[in-house]
Formats: sequence, structure tokens, C-alpha cells
Amino acid sequence: MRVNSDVTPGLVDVRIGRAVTYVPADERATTTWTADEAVSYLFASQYRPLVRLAVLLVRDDGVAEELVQDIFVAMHQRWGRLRDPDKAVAYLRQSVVNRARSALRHRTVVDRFMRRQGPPATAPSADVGVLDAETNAEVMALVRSLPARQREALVLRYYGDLSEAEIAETMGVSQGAVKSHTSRGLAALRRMMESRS
Amino acid sequence: MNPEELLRQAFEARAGRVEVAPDALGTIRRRITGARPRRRALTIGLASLATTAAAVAATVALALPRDVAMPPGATTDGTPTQTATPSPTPTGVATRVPVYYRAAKGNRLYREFHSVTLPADGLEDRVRAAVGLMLRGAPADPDYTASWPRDSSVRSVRLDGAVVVVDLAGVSGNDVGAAAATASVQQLVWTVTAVTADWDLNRPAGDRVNVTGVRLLVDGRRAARLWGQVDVSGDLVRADADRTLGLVWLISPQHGDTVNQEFTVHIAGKVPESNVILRVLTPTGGIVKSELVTLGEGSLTRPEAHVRLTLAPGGYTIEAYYESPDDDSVQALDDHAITVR
Repeated sequence: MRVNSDVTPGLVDVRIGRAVTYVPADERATTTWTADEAVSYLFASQYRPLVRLAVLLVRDDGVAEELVQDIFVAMHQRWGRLRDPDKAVAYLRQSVVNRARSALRHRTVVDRFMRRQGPPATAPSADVGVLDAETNAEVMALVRSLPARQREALVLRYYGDLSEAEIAETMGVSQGAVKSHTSRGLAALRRMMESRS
Repeated sequence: MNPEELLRQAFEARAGRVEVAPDALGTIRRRITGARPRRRALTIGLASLATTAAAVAATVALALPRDVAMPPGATTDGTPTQTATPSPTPTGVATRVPVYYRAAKGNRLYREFHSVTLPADGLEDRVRAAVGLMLRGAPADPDYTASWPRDSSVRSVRLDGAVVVVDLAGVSGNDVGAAAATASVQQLVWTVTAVTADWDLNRPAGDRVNVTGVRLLVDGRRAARLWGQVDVSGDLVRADADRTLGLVWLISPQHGDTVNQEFTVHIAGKVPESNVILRVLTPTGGIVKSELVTLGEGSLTRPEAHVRLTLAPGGYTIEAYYESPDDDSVQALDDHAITVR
């Protein structure tokens, strides 16, 4: 490999779940970041993963993106208290979960979601078998029907790849509660699988 | 497949369909600026504020969206060229559209964004413009091309339910191989569906078109096969991204862009171990920078990475590629010539 090994150690990761982006270590010394710079850097690495996380929680792409934009504006206003990338990433992640809950409480969003039950927004790629697409749709429908806490736990665990401790911090609950929400959600999924077979 | 695997698959499939607004950072910036009205005063050109204004402009430049490629010829100089809604001009509506091109070597597809001025900002107008650019085959990057006949043109575009019906003229005959013909059909499908996905992005669910495919007409009629090579009788959908798209995409800067000294390189791809080499070369071939970038952001099916670079003013070539695990040879090279101001 013709890899320049003296560059790689200088890179550190800023992470939301499995969304890892490498940022030069010297650029991570955020005590020198202004709020504008923080938005710029964190947008580049975190915006898209956060929108995707939000979509899985609120189901509506437009609502999800507006929600994440709100969060970046709020982070800018609060940057004086954050001033740290790890804190900022945790803040962004927690904000997505909290605001997703609020959004789902909003009746119009719920109504919009109910109208959207149906085929996926875009056609599956040719490589995705029809059965896979159908299964995915069934799984997503089931996840949407779960109580909010169970849904959050499953999304953060199986999409975000977060640890129990990270999920607990993000959801603002105990690790025991995370285990409970996760196991109940998985049990519902197993029941769905059994009923299909 | 166990429940955990099912969840991962379903989440990944759903998240992988999410496209973010090209002007998202601009929107955030405007909202932030809106909350700080004093900043707006910087734009009035007061000499005493010139230095501060320049600093603000530089910050904005750093913040320009990197998740989509810039239009060819566009500069990243901090000018707020990207707006939430297309801006009207005396002759039409200025916007930009995604266009897919085929690699000159091989048949994989690459995407560029192109600025266009439309008579009206309707979905059909955007599709017509994008397909017109695609047929013309004038990508910003000379390494990309198109195989459509020179005199081909768009007769009409209309939406029929969840399908976009594209009627082309002058495309009935073309002496290309099966691979190029297949790639050309996918070029059309990916271009049209990229435009429609872009259209849906900031619209409420009830206003989205949710296009699932493309129906090709040739001179107003359904055609059985295009160029005798590809079955186009049914509605066409996107083929597998792994088999269709370039294995490494250097999304931005786009070829020919001018950027500030600090800028972000956006790469996407599907390569072994998700490792891509990012190199920066001078016009004489001197290596300014070479680093290993692990793609990890975004969808697992097409991971991405953003890398911030700082370069002295001048001309450079940015390369992104992966090295063969077998012999370290350069694979799937995508390179763009840029200017750093």
C-alpha cells in the first residue's frame, strides 16, 4: 500500500453511530472554533447522518431535515457552552431524539405520516430483491408502530450502533430501561416474523 | 436472517434513500444570520467594517455545502450563490440540476451539478434541462462523456403518476456497443430520478412526486429496444448502484472549480475496506498531499467522507482512488483540476 502513514495518525474521528468522519486533529482543537466554524465543521461531518437518523425516528424526510436544521441553529446559539466536539456531537444526537419526540406529538405530523403509509418514495435498486424490499417495508412499518421509546432504542442500537450507555445518555433514561425497550421491540419483531412464516 | 439483521437491513435501506437539501448549510446560515441582524450590516460595504466583512465572507465560504458538487464554473468564494429557492432573473429562473455522465474509460456513471436558467421552475422544466445537458454531452470533467447521438434532443417531458415520460428525438440510431448503450439508458434514468428526488427534497409529503421510474419514448412512440441493444419497452428503474456508479466519486470540488485556500473535499465510493487515497498534485505532478481516507459517513451502501484541506493559491489536481489489494495498482481514479485562490 502506498499509504502515507504519517498523515493517518493525525486524523481523529467524530462519530455518530457508524457515521465516522475523519477530521484533522488540529482542526478538532475546538476551543479555538467560533460558533460559525463549529457549524461549518460539524455540518460537513454530521448533517447527513443526523438527517438519516431523524428520518428513522420521525418517518418524514422533510420534517427530519427541518428538525436537524433547527438543531444546528440552536447549537450555534449555545456554542459558548459546548465548545467541544464530543459534547457537541452528543448534544446534536440528543437533540435529534428529543425534537423527534416533539415532532411526533404534533398532530399534523402524525396525520402526514398516516397518509404516507404505502409504497416507498423511490423504487428499490435492481439489486434489491422484491422480497427484501417487502421485508424492509414490513419491518419499518412495525418499527413505526412501536412505542416511541422502543423505536428510539432500536434505531440508536441497530442503525446508530451506539452502546447501551450511549443510548441511555441520548434518550435520557437508564441503561436498564434501554435493555427493556430494546428487548420489547425485538420481541415484537420476532412475533411479526413468526406470524409471516 | 435474525431480527437484529432484519432491523439493520431495513434501517440501512430506508436511511440510504435520504437525500439532504443541496442548500442546507446556506439555509442554516441564513437563519443564524437572521438571528443576528447586526451581521447583515456588513454587506452594506462600510469601509470601516471591510476587514470584518471579509472574515465573515471567509467563514461562509468554509461553510458552503459540500454534500453536493458545485455547479461547473461556480466559485466557492463565499458569495451566497446557493439559495433556498431558485432566484428569478430577467430571463428566467436560475437553478441547478444534477446530470449523470459516463466515464470516458469504462461505462460507470458520475454526477455533476450544472447551473441552468429555466423559463419556469417546474419539475418538467428541470428534467428537460437536465436531460438536454445529458444528451449534449458536455460535462465539466473531460474524463466524463456521453454516447447519445449529436443531434438528439428532448421532445417533451411529462409526469404520468410516479413515472416520468421522456420523449426524445434523434436517438433512434447509434453505433455503440451493448455496454455503452446500457450505461446510456441508466444515465438517463439516474439523471431523471436525481432531478425528481432533488425536487421532492424540500417539499411537504403531499406535494412530492415520488417518482419510481422513467418511460422512454422515441419520436413520440414506445420503443422496444434502444440502438438494438437495450430493452426499453417497460418503465425503467435505477440499476444497482454498485454496478452502475463510479466506484470512487470525487464529488466536490467539481472539475474547474475555484475554491478558497481552506476547503473541503467530498468523496464517496464503494471500495475494498472503504479506504480511498486522496492526493493533491501540482500541475507538474508534484505530490502536495497524500492521505488515506476511510469512507464511513452516510449510507453503508455508498459511504462518504469529507476532508478539509488548506492549500496555497495556485492550480492543483485532486485525485481520489483506491489501491488494488492484489498489486497496489491505482483503481477507479477520479481526478479534478481546480484553482485555489
